Amino acid sequence: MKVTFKIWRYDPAKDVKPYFQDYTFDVKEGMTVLDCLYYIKENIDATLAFRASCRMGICGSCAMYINKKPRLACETQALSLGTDVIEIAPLPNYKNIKDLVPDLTPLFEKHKNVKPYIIPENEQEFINPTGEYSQTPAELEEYLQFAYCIKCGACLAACPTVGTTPDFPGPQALAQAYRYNADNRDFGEKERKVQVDNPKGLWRCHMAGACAEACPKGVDPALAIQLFKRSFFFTGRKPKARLIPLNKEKPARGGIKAPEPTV
Amino acid sequence: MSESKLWFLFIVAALILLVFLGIHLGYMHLDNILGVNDPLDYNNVKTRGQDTFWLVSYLILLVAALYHGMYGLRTILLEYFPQNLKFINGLIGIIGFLALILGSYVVIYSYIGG
Ligand code: SF4
Ligand code: FES
Repeated sequence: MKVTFKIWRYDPAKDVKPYFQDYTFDVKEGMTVLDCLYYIKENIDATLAFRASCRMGICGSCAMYINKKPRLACETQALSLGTDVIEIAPLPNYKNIKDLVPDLTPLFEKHKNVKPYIIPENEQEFINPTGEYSQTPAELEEYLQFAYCIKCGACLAACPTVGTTPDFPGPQALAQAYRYNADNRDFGEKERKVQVDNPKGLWRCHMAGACAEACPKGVDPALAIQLFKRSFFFTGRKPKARLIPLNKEKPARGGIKAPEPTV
Repeated sequence: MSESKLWFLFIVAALILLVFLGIHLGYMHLDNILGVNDPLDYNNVKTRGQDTFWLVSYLILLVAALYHGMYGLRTILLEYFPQNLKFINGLIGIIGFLALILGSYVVIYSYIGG
């Protein structure tokens, strides 16, 4: 099927303003939008700039604004969009570096600010572990879906509050702050709460839910934000992860054996 | 005060509103069902104004509605002008305070028989 791609072009070195450029060619069944962009780059216009890496929805590099929605280009089948004109622009709410490439610096800065790592109760134990922490399936469930974030930035592109308040941490960082707070190996809840309990922080979210809709990995940042808000007022005691000393606990008889080393 | 506390009070104010606005609206608009005799009649309004239950309930309603509304207005203004936090806080504080004085004046004045 012949499809016209209307692609956002902008080279700050020579363009005064961004503009859309059309590319029309035969799209075969099975081609993702990313395949189409590579096709354009390899066969029609080598100057087109976009970002991609894994081509399998893992690295988060290829998030862009496809037919006015933030999506991963590598996970979007071109023909499944059901239009013969596909408009592609860089993610909104970010500075545009060139063509389809957004400047994701704010995403990573905001992510870093909420300390997205386990802050242990006993730092020495973390540096020189004497055992491993146990976690029941139920404790894992507390944060698992939020751990699937690939930092593609699509949720910030969809968030109306990020659009008006650039300093708002945004759904990604807030969901990650909650993800670590909910982890029973973590003791950094107080530090993260201080980071987000300010006039531009958590309380600016107005529950539009666009982030949850945009997320290609099924993370629901809007839910994380609501749970995070709840945790400010109803702080149930988090069960502490149990430290199992190394080599002390023998596997139960007949239990699952560790795989044999392979060559 | 921290943002979490301001937000918490906003939710508490909403719950208070639910109760007291419910009483107010029920009394005013379900008069036929509740058998209230003409709640908007001048003399009835005056008698109500001089009743301690209504005095307290109007004051609670006033404070809760003002806080809830002013917090909402602050949120909207912050969204438009995120860099002007101090100015917005001041503006909201002043408007809220003036409205509180005016509202309580009316309620208290009618209570003491004005
Ligand atoms: S929460 Fe979803 S949309 Fe947001 S950065 Fe993570 S994977 Fe992307
Ligand atoms: S290229 Fe890695 S997510 Fe699309």
